[in-house]
Amino acid sequence: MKILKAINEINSNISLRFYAVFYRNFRVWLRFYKPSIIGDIIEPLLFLAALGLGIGKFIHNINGTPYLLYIIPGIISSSSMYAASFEGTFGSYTRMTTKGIFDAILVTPVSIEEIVAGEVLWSAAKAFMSGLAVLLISLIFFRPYISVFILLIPIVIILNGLLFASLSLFITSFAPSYDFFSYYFTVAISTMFLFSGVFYPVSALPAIIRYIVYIMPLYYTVQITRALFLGHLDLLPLLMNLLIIILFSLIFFYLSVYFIKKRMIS
Amino acid sequence: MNDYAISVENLTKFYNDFSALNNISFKIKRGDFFGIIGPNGAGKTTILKILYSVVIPSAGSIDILGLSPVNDAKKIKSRLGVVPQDDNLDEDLSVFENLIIYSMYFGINKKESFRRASELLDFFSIAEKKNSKVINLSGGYRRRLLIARALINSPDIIILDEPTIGLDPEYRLNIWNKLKLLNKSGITILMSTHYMDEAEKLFRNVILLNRGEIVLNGSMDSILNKNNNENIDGASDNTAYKKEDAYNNKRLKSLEEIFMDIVKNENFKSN
Repeated sequence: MKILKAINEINSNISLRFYAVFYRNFRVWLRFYKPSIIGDIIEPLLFLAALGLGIGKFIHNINGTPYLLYIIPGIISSSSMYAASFEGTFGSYTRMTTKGIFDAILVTPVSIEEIVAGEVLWSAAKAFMSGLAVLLISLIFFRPYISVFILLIPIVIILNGLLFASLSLFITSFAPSYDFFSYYFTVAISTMFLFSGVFYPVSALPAIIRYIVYIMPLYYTVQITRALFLGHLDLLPLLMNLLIIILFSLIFFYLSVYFIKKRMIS
Repeated sequence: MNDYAISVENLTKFYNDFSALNNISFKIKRGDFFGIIGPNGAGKTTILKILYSVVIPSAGSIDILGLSPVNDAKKIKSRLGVVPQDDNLDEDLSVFENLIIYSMYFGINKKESFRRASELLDFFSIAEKKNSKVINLSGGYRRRLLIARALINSPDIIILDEPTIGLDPEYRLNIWNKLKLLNKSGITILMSTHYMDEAEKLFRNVILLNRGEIVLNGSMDSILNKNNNENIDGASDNTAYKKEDAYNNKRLKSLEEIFMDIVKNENFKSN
């Protein structure tokens, strides 16, 4: 009950004013958008070319799907995970500490809740750009089997962005310094990248590792994206996975608000 | 509507075991130019931060424009202008953008924010730097922009935490003049400083703070007069000076001397 009350209070402090926080970051990004977009395009291209074409030469298919097509949805998911995670850690942390952006906003009618919401939305927006870039590139260069459900993938990318943005803000909320983020990236993000089914089916892993994979949020995004990408739709698991992603996002969003509030208001 | 812009009663703040503020009470009339004076670490910033809701008091009650910071922080903040001690201008944006983006936090529409931003840049004579990056501005320009930013929402009260610290005399004077003009236009000003000459020149009413306690409060005139009576009387008795002579010869204690006497006394007592 206590938790519900706290959530209610947080909700009551969120108005559309959080858009200003988002817009500020967007405005700054506009100054350097070209290198940012080029980076979004080049990195996944390298992965797809090196792994898809290289390893794909030896592994002809996984469960009947050509290797390149198998990993495209995985790279879409992991790219957006990385984009949201970098922005939500290094980016948000800098704005919260050295740049004093949060402090400056905090004396205006914008609440902590709205600051966090704006930051999460911005990180998710960067995730969206990154994931969408992979999707478009793979459609242009590799012309995969086209399923109409591909049109739903951008929605999944946004949800994945919101998920990793919230998780990153949560990490940022108690990070003592930049060094802390290297643990987060090594322990959490890299582990998810390697084990969540981006490159091979999780069923290949020993049972004990598989159970750990099930607590990794990226696993669920990869599952959904791959199903939509290949058009192998199974409605019930799909909805279950979506629900898990949304639940993860909400939990970490509220936790970030709680801890950032504690950090900023003494 | 009551006559006071801000009233504070029995305000106390602990950080763990450390008592930063001990039972502080004061009232600020609407339209006042009110000062908080004291050495570094006296608790000036803590009081100001409590008033603009980023520090939570341990005890005491606060009324700002008839509202309570506990329940109406948003409403209060929309009517406050805050100039923090640490310059937190947005270095990724230009001078003009700093004002425009800031006005969005207050929900001011685009047309109105452009009008106000241009007006403020003119008022603070920084219009020629409109499109410069903040990072390329000198200290004096930055400080003026910081004050301009605090005025973007046309506040009823502005709170300034040592706004002239580290500035050269010319820029200080410039800022003093602007603040006087703003006060004349009806804005209540609450400002902290540890420069006593500045306090004497600007403040109408003050509290003097030492180690989290108010050691002296009242109007600047009464403080200067009261603490100089002995001096003046003494002068006329013993050395045949008349009061006017005492003033003219600057045998009067300045605020700084008055304050140092009190602080020395207090510290002596507590040791």
